[in-house]
Amino acid sequence: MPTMSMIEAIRDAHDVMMARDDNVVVFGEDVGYFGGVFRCTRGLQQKYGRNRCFDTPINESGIVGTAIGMAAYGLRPCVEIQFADYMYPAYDQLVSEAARLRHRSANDFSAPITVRMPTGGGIFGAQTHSQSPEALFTHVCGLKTVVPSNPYDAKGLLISAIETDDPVIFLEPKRLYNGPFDGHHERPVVPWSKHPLSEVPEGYYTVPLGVASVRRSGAALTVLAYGTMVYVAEAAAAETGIDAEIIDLRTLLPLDTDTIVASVEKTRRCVIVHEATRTSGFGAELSATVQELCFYHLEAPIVRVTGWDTPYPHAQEWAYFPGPQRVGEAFRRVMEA
Amino acid sequence: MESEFIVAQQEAESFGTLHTVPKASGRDMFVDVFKEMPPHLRRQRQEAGY
Repeated sequence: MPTMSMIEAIRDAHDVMMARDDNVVVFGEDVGYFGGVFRCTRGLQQKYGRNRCFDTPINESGIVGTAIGMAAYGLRPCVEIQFADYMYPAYDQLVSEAARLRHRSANDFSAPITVRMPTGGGIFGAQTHSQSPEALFTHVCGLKTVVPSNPYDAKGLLISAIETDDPVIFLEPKRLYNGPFDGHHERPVVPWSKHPLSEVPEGYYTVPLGVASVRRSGAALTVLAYGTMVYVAEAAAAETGIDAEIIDLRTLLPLDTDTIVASVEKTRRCVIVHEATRTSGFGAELSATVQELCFYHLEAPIVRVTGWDTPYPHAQEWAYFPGPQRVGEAFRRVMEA
Repeated sequence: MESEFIVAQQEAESFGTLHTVPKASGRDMFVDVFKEMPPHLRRQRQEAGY
């Protein structure tokens, strides 16, 4: 089976869906001729033509608004916002139009769009190229939110997203594009080709939305993570020797509460890890969910490890980034409670 | 054009880069988020060890 980086897997998902369905169109800033700043749409314009894959002006509101109109008339747009940090001008279109169109029209219209965005930090991108705005989407009724953590999932989840009849926000952790990253920034980059989840089947397959993956079975505590933090949690488990069960949520909404509950009822302890700022972050929703569904099984307070409530810093990136040391300290705190 | 770019880069770097100046303190990232630091941010700064 071929190995792919996350970039290649995402590009392959586009290719598969554009070949299968003439209604799939792909556009965004630098997406067509150049193939995307991260190369996730490389070669698609040459293969499918400028009517199926094209460049847009620097206008995120226009990109998403155009996609909603196309989708309402039967197309399946899969658009790219160059960085999730650039999403804010498009937020009104996503919240007021894409997310509500089905409800507002009594199911006469819908917006089956996929909006891809590179998310997260770890690349010295500073405050305008490093943010993790997932909670801004999970808070909006009508949007589904996906965060893949590896090439196999990225391809299967993106195909599922494009086939979904509702709008899907697809957040791609940019630090994972070229290899898994466990937070040890001082070490050499490890390419995906050395990781088993870089084995990506050719052609069509799906990974269903709303289903989490247990990435490491364990008995001592449950870790709820997604994206880059899955690898940080794996490193923390290895370095502390604590037998953590690590759940890669993969889809934040709809959330796979069955997998979460089964794990927390088994381990009786829970650590939540995300890179986004803490206050009102998705970890708060996860913490509330675990408290509501698992309270009588818990033997320790739920602990969150997150980015701080500050703009994403440039010079202090690794003081901000929740690395394996901070996550490991949380493991110990939960075990000692 | 390229020589102008190099001159401009050298001038900019003469003021210091992340590699030549003393390492920035993590404390700095908590400054100027608000005019006065709210309690939750102060707690986070302390948790971060600054």
